[in-house]
Amino acid sequence: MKNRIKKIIIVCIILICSIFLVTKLTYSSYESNTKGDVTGNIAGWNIKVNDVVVSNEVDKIVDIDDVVWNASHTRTGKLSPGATGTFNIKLDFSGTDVAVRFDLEIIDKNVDSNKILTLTNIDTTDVTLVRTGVSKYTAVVDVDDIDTTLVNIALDLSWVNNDNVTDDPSGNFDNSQFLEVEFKATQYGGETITAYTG
Amino acid sequence: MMVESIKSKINNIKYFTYKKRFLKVSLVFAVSVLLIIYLITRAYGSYITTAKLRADIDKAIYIFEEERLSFNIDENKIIPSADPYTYTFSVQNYNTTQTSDVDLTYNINIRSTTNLPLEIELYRNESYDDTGATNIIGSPTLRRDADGAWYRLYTESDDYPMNYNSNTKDVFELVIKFPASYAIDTTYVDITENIEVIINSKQVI
Repeated sequence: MKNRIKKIIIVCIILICSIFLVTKLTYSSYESNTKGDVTGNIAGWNIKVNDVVVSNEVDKIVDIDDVVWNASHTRTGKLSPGATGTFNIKLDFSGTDVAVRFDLEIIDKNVDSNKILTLTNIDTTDVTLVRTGVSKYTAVVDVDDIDTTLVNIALDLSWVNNDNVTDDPSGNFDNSQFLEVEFKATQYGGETITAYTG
Repeated sequence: MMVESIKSKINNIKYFTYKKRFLKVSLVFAVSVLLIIYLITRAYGSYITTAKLRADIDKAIYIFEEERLSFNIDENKIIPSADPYTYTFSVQNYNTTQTSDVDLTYNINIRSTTNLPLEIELYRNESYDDTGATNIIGSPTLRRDADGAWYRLYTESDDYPMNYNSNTKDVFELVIKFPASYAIDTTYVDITENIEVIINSKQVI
């Protein structure tokens, strides 16, 4: 039984090969080969925050020194209780070939009581910033506007004075103790940006 | 019959071996395919970038230092005397390397117990025996604390300024008088008096 099956298989193989060969010979005069390569350019992804390239980064720390403080009775450029100031974020997406959605989460004293500074206002005229969380803001930059839109965002900050609290008089502070802004940029896929309603 | 039975068993074993091998190969193939799919989705997933932004801040420092300069009272005794006892101390808004970055003000309170009939005076940047010297604290008022104990509170001095744009040091002379007329009075022998100098400073906002 087994031998019979083997014989049948061999015959089938021979038949298939024969048919193939015959058809090849018959139509060989009309044979032609075409070969094509399909190539595609990978869309660019270029993100800069205050001139620091963060395109391929995860949780990169960016220290921004573009802060102007208003503090009376204090040496110029220094931050002291009662001071106010503006923290400027500059986002550059030029060279990116997709629409970009970015989110900013402000970790100030209202979110983390160990932080020193309080956010009092956030403002930009370059994009439509939507508040999407308690301290989260989102905007989208269309692919058509990528190369012409430099996004400047101003965060107004305050060190609210509390006479019932004795602040540390030393200058030994890590920048993260004052305020942190978590920035996230993703390729925008058309999803709905839902405003925070409280 | 026996031979047939043995042959059949051998065939079953072979079949089982082939089946096991087939299953192993299938499993490896399935895992490989899943791995490839996972890697491809990772390699070609949508773009994402995250960063933490922080303000690069130069925080102002607050410096207010006190220095005990001299104290001519024997800590074990004080006796009625025509000469007062003096205690000199100073306050300043700088240390050896830095000056305060903020304007500040300070004032001085004196508190004492009521055990001895002492007279206390305070002089700023002058000595009590300088011509025209001014005592900056007034006469004491009697107060009771939370525990009901009496104490003397000498009138609070003015708020004195120290600006961040200059190194400022003020020298104070605390004068304690125990009039000599009490020398013949043994009432106060071995009595303890506590005198507290309280300096309050704060930033000018």
